[in-house]
Amino acid sequence: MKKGILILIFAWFGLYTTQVEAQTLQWTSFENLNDSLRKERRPLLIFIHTDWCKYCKMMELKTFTEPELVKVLNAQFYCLDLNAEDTRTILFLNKKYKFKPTGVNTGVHELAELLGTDKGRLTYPTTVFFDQHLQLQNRMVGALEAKQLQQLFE
Amino acid sequence: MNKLYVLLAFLLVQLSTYAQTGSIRGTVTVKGKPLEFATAALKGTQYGTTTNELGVFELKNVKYGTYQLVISSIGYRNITKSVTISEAKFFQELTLQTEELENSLSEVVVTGTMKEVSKLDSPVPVEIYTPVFFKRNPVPNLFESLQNINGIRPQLNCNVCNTGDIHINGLEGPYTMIMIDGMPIVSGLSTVYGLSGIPSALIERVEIVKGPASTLYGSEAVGGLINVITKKPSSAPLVSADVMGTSWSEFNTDLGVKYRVGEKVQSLFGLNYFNFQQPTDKNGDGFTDITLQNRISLFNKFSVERKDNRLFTVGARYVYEDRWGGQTQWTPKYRGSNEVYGETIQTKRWEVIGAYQLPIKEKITFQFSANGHNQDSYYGTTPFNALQTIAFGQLTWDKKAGENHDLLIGTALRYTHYDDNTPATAIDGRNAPSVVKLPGIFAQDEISLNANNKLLLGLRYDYNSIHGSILTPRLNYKWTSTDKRNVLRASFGNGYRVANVFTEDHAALTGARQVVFTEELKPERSWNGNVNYVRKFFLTNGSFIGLDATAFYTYFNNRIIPDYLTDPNKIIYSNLAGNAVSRGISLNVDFSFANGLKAMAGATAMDVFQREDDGSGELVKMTQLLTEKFTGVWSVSYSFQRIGLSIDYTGNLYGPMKLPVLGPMDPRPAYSPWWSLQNIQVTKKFNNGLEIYGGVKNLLNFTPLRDAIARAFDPFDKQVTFGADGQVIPTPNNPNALTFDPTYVYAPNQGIRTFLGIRYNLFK
Repeated sequence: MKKGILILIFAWFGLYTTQVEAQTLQWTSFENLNDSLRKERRPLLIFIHTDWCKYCKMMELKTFTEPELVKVLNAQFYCLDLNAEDTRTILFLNKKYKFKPTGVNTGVHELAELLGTDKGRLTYPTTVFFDQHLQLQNRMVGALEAKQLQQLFE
Repeated sequence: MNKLYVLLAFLLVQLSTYAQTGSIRGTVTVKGKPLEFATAALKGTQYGTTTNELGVFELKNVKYGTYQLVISSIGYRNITKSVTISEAKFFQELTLQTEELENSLSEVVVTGTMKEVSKLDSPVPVEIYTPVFFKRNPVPNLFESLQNINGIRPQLNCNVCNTGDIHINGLEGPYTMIMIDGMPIVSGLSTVYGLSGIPSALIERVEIVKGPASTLYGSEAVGGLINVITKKPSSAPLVSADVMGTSWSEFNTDLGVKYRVGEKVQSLFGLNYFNFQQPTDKNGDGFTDITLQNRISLFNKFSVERKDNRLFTVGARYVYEDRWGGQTQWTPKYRGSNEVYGETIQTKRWEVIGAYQLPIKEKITFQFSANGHNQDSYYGTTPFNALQTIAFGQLTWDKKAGENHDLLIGTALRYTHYDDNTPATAIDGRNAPSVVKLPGIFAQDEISLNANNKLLLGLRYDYNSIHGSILTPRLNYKWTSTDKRNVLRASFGNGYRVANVFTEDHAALTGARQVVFTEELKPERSWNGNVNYVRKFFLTNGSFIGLDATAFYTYFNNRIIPDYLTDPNKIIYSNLAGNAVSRGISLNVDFSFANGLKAMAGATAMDVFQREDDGSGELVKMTQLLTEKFTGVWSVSYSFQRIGLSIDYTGNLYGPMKLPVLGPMDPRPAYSPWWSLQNIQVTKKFNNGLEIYGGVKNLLNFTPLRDAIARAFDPFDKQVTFGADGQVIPTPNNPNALTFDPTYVYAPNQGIRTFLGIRYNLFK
């Protein structure tokens, strides 16, 4: 019985390994952001998410893989991916931000709090936008579809 | 966002130069050093730029006029300066000094919110549930809300006192560890209280691990762990309140407050009060259908802000509970008497948990947990008074070794003091409290083999001052597909625990049966393996489907299982001469449709049995009592976003379970029927943080058999005739040769009822 299930599972994997990967979104790391900005000022998209949030995964795997949107974002933006529970110190626009633990293996990153807090609360996912003059222009709370994002750029 | 493109368009404006313009150049510094990436903009216009590496900016082609020049950068003080560009002063050169600030950002427009359930990026299969999920079927505490999760069953252990226990994939409560923010509540007695007192408004998420998790949590936690993660100060409401009542006169109040103590201490406070004081006997057996309860739990967590954001957090909880069930005419004056039957339990419990990161460069954390549990109770005429004190400390060292290894090394010490009035803590008739010291060391390594494969290896060694050495290995493996839509996890490990029949098995206390030990009980040992597969589908219309399948297998080479069947007047405890197995498969499906419909369904099929020597040397398979072979759980929610209304339909389905009957003449069925609990709820959200919810629970009005308690009319067996060998003799008023017995229980005695509640959340 167990063997049967395993065979089924592997057969399933087989089906999906044949899928062709489309153009993927180029995420800029926070380490490389300064160099990228020095080369060319661009607007920023910062995607604030956690590992455990389903709608974040949905955006990551669905929204940020839509070819049309990926094309626009890769060409005109620097996209940064900010895991709100990342424990590393992050340098962003000349300031260092740290992880703030609130328990063992749990906590929140200062930068996520700073950028993502909206009406007194931080919700996942939250997407924030900076213009090319590095001013925070918009903060969108909740899962966004590719269409919604594309509408913003029109 | 439109603004952004307007500003992009500004680049084009720059090209169209004409005569009446000048320019502004400036240098922005902080403490004499240039500030890069600061924004320089003229207020109310489209002129804007940023400073370069030298802190210099230049605004060109600025039309003649007077402007407010604003220099801003996140984390620095804004500078506003009036600048005039005219024919006389068409070029302005400025030096501007700013300073570092406490962080603050202005807020902008918000759309909708969606957030909920997922699995962590860890080799251990972790399921996540947020309060949104639990609110679909509101209940007074987290313990009861777990009934909405596939594979988890809060079990009622007793028909009269209604005390409960959590079963994960067929394994009992003591195999489950409960944690708050990753800090274990190390306890043996009544672990379920670890889930009370934290209002759902203060809960960010609940993580559930089914099967063996990290070695970090000790050798007992082989069934799984439940980690309650509280909200961060940035997401918790300032004040939250939730008040609910049902048509059975049950009242529940939750209160949550976020506050600061001085500059450095952030605090979360929670209060839960539950009250049910209406003796109700709808099935007419003379006994209360549901235990009367009065419970207050207080919870407070402090987080101290330290240099370099080092961790220091302490949580404390106090629970007081007074409950009784029994014959409806019972009053406290009958406590312990043989006139009117009652089971009455008064519980006082305190807990302190905490974690402190040492102020050194290496990440070394000291965790501590202490609790005291005091139970003062009578089960009929049998008193049971237990006092347990546990102290636990653990040092862990977290170390990254190279790119791919995440090491964790630690040492722990646990001290348990337990005393009660039963023979379990007596030697030769004299009281001898049990004192157990359990030092241990452990090490684990999380290895990232490559982008798709992760391995977690762990080993733990404990020394039990009574039972000796305990070695606990753990192995977890995770494979992720390149597109991240498929995840396969496997885990393997062993468990070890010492059974305490009096605290874990309430039937031992009801006085209805005599407790017999045929030999000294040895620790239980088990091996457990889990395989879990998760697959995500995203449909083109924005819908999401998640699949989650698990197969589990646990093998026990000793298990302490109460034997109810050999002698209906006795519960016999002995070591298992044979082995026991708990195995099964479970499947969860999770749908989120773009139109606002969400559905979740789960089913578990399992087989829990023991193979025991029948005396002839052959092993005979016996199904475990009070454990069903099939359970199903579902929830369907639909929200009408525009009018702030949502509807939830939730339900459970349970297959038959084998029940403890009193010998061959007992007229009660040996198996429970298929049964189901279904609930419906409507919630209306208002914009000011107010929510009103109401609905119907147990729509099908399912209740167990009326005569589930054997001889409820004669709880002290006064009219039972016993033969010389202690066996019951059938008599005209006792034709089936029964005795009073409340252990035949499989479902709550509570039929259809309505509920109404109000919630309020105030964010700062």
